[in-house]
Amino acid sequence: MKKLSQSSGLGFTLIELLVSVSVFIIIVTIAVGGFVGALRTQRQVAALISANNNVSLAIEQMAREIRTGRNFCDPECPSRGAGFSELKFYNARGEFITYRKSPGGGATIEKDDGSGFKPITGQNALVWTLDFFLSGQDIDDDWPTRVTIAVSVSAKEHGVKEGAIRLQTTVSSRQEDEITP
Amino acid sequence: MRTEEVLKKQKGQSLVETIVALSVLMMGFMGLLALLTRSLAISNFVSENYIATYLAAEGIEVVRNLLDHNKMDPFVPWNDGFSNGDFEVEFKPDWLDVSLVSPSDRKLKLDTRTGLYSYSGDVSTKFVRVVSIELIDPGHLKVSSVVRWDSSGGITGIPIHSEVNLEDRFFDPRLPSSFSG
Repeated sequence: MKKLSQSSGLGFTLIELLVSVSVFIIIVTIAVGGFVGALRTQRQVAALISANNNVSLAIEQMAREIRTGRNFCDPECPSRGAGFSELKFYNARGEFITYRKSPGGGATIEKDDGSGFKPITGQNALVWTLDFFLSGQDIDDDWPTRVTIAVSVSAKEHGVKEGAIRLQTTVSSRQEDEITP
Repeated sequence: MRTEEVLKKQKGQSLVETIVALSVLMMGFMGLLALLTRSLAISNFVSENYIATYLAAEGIEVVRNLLDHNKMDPFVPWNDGFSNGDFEVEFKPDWLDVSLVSPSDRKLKLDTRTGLYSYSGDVSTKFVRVVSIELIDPGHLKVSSVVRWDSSGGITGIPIHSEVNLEDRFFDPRLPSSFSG
């Protein structure tokens, strides 16, 4: 009787061990999967916010400079209506400014004020398109120059063009165009 | 007999304990998953806020552009073409001309070819933009640019009614400023 109960007790312990180990493994797998997912999501969200901040600051910088800028038609007048990948004008200090997207996909926004192109967005924002739509840029028209900026940007963590958000804003120059300063 | 009864009792208890432990863990993970979904939804909402803010700023900037155009012709009243009411900003054709038209509750559309938000794009967006003009007195014009949209509301699935409301005031540039002093 004593021997029997001992052996049956051992058998139960083994099954219990197997069950508890498998339950433990399943739970740990789910937990680790959930935790990894949480970390990835958190990183994506942080990257998206960072990318948005970056491009927002760049748009703000461009908008301020365009507001006080003039002669968007210099040296040559781009044909009207179409979008341009580069914006050239003179800022309030009379410097010749060029804004463009650096070559390639998932790039940065660059500015040239005569000393070469320098990025004004960080590497964590992937800029896919940057286009400028001009109107009223001719010197003798009766319109202040109106520039529409269209940007599409995605976070580095997403890294795909399809998930990019598209921002658009229009800026009206406060200056009147004049003959080359 | 007695030991077997005891063993049976022990086995039953451990099963109940396992179920309780599992359900507690599951509840914990449900919370974690809800948090993930929610944080992704909120980051989308943040992106939409960025887009809407720039679209609303564009509405103000267009009014500024039209007023500055009036200012350039000395025989035209400074607020020529403006009347009280709600309007939509219409760019056409090919982004050359801009005008305020009567509102018809249209959602902005995105042109995936040019990346521009207008009323002639190929993808419908959730944004509705209304520019309200109020002629307060002959030398004072108030404009508010409102962008409304229904944001996807995360786990609840109920859309969040959101809006960005920007306001600006313009004064007759040919009159001495009543606010100087």
